[in-house]
This record gives sequence, C-alpha cells and structure tokens, in this order.
Amino acid sequence: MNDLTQVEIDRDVADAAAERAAKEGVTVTEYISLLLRRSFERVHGEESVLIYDHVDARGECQLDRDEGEDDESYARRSALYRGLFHRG
Amino acid sequence: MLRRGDYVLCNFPFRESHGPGPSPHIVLCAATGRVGGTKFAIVFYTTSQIDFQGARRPRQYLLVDKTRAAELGQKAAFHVDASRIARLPITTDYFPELGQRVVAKTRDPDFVIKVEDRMRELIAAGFELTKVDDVRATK
Repeated sequence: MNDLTQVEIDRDVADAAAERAAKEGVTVTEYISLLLRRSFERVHGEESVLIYDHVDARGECQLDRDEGEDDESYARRSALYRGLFHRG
Repeated sequence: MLRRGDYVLCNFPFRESHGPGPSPHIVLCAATGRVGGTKFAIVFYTTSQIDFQGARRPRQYLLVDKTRAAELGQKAAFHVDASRIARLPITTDYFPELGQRVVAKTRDPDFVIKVEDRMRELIAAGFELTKVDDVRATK
C-alpha cells in the first residue's frame, strides 16, 4: 500500500475528491484508492452479490440469537447466511 | 462486543487482495456467530456515494439519510450496500476499535431486516452470487 505513483487528474475532480475525503476523515490518496479498488471489483454491468469470506473454520455455523427473537425470524436469517457462506 | 444492527468501523476486505482492508470504514453488522472455535461477524459494506448524476440509485443501495448519519458521527448521508457482504473473524485486524469500551457508533437492528430483504430481492432478480473466499485463495 506504500508503493505510490503520481497521476494527473482534472483540478475540479481533485477538489471534489479532497472535499469528500475530508468528510470521511481520510486522505485524498486513501479516498481515491478506495474508490478505484471498489470499482475494480466488478466489470462494467456486472450484477452480483460479492460474498467475502475470511473465516477459516469448518463445522456448523451457529448465529447468535437476538434477545427476544422468535424462532421463525432466527431460522429465516440463519438459512440466508448458511446459504451464502456454506463451504462445500 | 458486536451485535446485530451495530454500525462499526471495519477494515473491510478487497476482492483483489488478501486479508483485511487498509483503512477503517463504517459497516453495518448483520449478525454474529461462531463456527468451529472462531467467532465471526457478518457485515454489510457502506458507501458515501449518494449522487448518481441523474441516474436512478442502484437498487443494491439503501439510504441512511443525513439525520441518521449525523447520529453515527458522519457528516453526510450514505448508503448501505446490500450487494457486498463479508463474514469476518472478530479480531482487531478487521475491527480496529474492538479493544475500546464502546465499539458501536450506534445501533439499528430494524434496518438490517430491510437490507437483508433487499439482498433477497437482488438474488431473486438474478444477481449472481460471487464468492470472494480469502481462505481458499491463500491455500
């Protein structure tokens, strides 16, 4: 992340980026890098749900139940996330 | 402690690189749980982009308006992105404020239900499920 290079962009774009970066409390470099890296994650027109999984464990995936949550609600969201993060 | 509905800072990962992202970003915690001996959180990404130059707002985005954003300590409205979801170990590598007494910026469990419903709609509408599986990629 420290391997930086210099590019030239239009002044008004740089100014807008600086303004938005300040609102988010990050540097302009961080803001532009973040924006571009996110845009690289999909090709133009791709309609997808990106599911990032960084949990290196197998076995039954058990969600924590909300306080007072009924069985139907718990089962519904458990099924949703089991489907998304199942490791076959 | 993380709970469903918490807005927290997270080093949300990128598709093109391994491990946690380089800088903290607000995410919405949809669930917590355990698999094997690992405690995890499932979080939705957020984006500050709210202007689409006259185009319609992409359907995967759910607006958190300026008033609600202010309660979160944000200066402007933002979107929760129902098309970017991550299951991450609950560690300070991914959640840098974990060691602090108060982790969550604020909490809105009802909004999680809306985001989950939107994700179900996207999937029903044909959005492809694309796994960005860091664990497999590194083996």
